[in-house]
Amino acid sequence: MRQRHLEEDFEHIKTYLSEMMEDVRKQILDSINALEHINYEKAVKIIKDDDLIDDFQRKIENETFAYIGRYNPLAEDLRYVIMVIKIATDLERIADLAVNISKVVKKHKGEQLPKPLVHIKKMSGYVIKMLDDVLNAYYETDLSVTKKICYDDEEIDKIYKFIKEEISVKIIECDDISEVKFFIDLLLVARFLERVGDHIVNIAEELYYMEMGENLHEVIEIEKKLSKE
Amino acid sequence: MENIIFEIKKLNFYYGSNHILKDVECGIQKNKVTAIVGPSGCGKTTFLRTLNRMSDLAPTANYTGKIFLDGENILDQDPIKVREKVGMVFQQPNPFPKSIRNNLTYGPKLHGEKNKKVLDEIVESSLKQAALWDEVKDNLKKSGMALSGGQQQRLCIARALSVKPEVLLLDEPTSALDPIATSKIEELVEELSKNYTIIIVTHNLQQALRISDYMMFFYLGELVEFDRTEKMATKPSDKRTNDYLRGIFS
Repeated sequence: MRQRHLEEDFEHIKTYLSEMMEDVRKQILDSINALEHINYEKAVKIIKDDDLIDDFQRKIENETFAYIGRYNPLAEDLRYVIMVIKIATDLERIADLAVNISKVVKKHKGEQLPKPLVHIKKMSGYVIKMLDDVLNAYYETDLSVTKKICYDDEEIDKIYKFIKEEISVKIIECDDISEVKFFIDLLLVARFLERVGDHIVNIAEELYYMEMGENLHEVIEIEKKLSKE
Repeated sequence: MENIIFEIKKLNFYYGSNHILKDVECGIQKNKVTAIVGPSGCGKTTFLRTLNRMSDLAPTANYTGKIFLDGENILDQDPIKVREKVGMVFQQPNPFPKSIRNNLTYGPKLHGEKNKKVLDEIVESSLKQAALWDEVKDNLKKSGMALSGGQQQRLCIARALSVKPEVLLLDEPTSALDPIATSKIEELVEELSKNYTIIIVTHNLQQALRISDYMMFFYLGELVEFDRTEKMATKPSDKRTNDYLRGIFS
């Protein structure tokens, strides 16, 4: 049995990370919701709440550095603490992207969306599903979903490509300059969501390494190669 | 093929009816540092001592298996000859109660070296290799016992080097030393590994990680895992190694 204080410090880090994951999921969900309804108040709140996410990242970093300094973790514990720092960084970036989306909402306060958010909604649907999967992988240490997350990200990339082409056509066809500006911002939103997808893939890879000590990206590449043969 | 200096085949070691080492099989790399770790009583020191037949000194000691050093089974050889090739340094510094110079000439003289010039050269080169020369070169007649703990341990390393061994066995060489003396010994181990094969038993996991190229984990007389140190630190293959490194048992 390990020392009690070592286990307690470890539990602190785990708790902070799960709380941060839940809060970041909420930030992304709310930012899409705010965009859909051009909800200025909601957007302002998301931007304000980003400080809480930054606090979480700092707390996790401080606790993890102290843990490394105090206990010199090895093997599974070493993988865990290093990956926690990386996951917290990715979560913080995802929250920043939720802020970026909210800034678009703030900018277009009182305006109407130039078109309903069909594909952006589809993208955000994937993003939320991937975040749920990543949370599930963390809580249940169910690594089977980590591979699925990587494949889902490929779908996000396809939708992003489609949105780029669709909005380019809209911009060319559009005479209204304010509508053009809105389309450009929607293209940015799609780009932000595509980046969120990339960060979730990073987290999936980090969770996989945490448990298995192997690079998920390499594992998938080998599987793809084998299935072609 | 990797450069193996020690090849151990099905080594079993007993003290009377106590089965201490169980079917140990491994190959130890030449001119690398191999650290042996494991909980107390796991057999790591016994294993180290079998490598230069020091374990024979116990009256009830008994072996089966083979230990090849440079292709020859040391269990068939004269232990004194084996110890010429495989030097050892212990936990407590144990210089002879003689002058620094005599500590270093004792071994070569025992092996027949009488030429003063050659002995002088051995004294200087051994002390230089043990990073002690600059500190004692003007006081070679001083008693080895009068040195500080860290210096005494480096003198013991120099003494082991004086008979030009191929392998140096270190049995917890820093456990009686302060952090500064410890770091000097660690630097020395790194330096010496360019020319010698070093096998070190240590209770200090961080030390094993700092200085070794390879790590062996023993548990209940069994060699559980033997791999590159960086692999052992981040991704040991066996659950028992993982648990030991995580401090679940010690």
